[in-house]
Amino acid sequence: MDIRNYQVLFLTAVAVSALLVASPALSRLLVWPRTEFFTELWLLGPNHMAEDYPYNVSRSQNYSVFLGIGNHLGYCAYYSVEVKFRNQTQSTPTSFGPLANRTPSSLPSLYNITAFVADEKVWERTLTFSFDYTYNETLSRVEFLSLTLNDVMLDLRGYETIGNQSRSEFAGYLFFELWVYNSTINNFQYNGRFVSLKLNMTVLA
Amino acid sequence: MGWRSGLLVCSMVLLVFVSGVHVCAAVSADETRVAVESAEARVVVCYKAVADAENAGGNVTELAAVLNSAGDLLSQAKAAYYSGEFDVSFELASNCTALLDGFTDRATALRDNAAEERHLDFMVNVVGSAVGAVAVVIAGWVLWIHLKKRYWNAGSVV
Repeated sequence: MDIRNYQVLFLTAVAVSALLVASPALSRLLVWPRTEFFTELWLLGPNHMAEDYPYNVSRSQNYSVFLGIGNHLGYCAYYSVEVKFRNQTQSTPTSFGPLANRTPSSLPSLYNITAFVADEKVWERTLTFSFDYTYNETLSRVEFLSLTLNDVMLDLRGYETIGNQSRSEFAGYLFFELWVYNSTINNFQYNGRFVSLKLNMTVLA
Repeated sequence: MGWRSGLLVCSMVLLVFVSGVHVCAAVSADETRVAVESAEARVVVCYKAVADAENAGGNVTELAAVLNSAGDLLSQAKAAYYSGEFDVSFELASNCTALLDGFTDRATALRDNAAEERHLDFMVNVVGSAVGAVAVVIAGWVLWIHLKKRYWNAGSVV
């Protein structure tokens, strides 16, 4: 029996053994680097599904939605979700185009929800809200008094929405802008994302 | 006996009234603003400590949960401040600050532990396995030479 016949088998056995022993090191070295860093922002209906969102709203009636954030930024992030409200004609934020060109709404924030989310982790919170408003029949408009969000009453005086032509819809938009804390400038920056809920303020005929 | 009881009741009423006045007049808008800003700054310091701990490889889920509770209190404190409820705002801001007592120490300890673990992990899994792989190749080569020598010394028979 010639030992040279076993040379390839021996070399293969040594190579496989070396690869097995080196696998912990290789698993760390041969990792495809992350190239996309972003944040998910979502709004789900009361059944935790993307359906049955509140639309027809009655005065002082409670409604629930789920607000969620998924962090894929590569570090633990400090988020601030600015809660704002607008009618059909007021300033809306933008969420398309290059991130630097996206702008938040110029409307004042009614409340800010803070969220600290570790990398590759998810944060979710139930938001329960109700509106208090009156209907001005003469001017055919709904005049808001307050928004109660998770038991915190927020002043909405001065906000109003005018009915559509058939006076069947008095639309208001409750929207949530995502801001993220930038440690370099020590301030929050608009992350170019928002979610919005279109609501119809029902009034008695 | 009657006048003593009366005096006692009057004293108690006065005490309650004075305490009440003290609580109501204790917090001004400026004091509240300072408390809220202080709580906000504290939250940022703690967040940076958590970010450092995560960067070192620590699991910051628990610390993030504490920060989220503190953040909720801070948000409520701000809302109360803007609606003019300074007492409520001051209390919420104080609670936020109190919740973060000793927080940076915990985050620093987590960061140091994580750094140590990461170093150990690197030494065992990266350096150790790389050195092990080289050792396997060298041992294989030595074994092959040894076997070949034995083969030739034994007259082409293993």
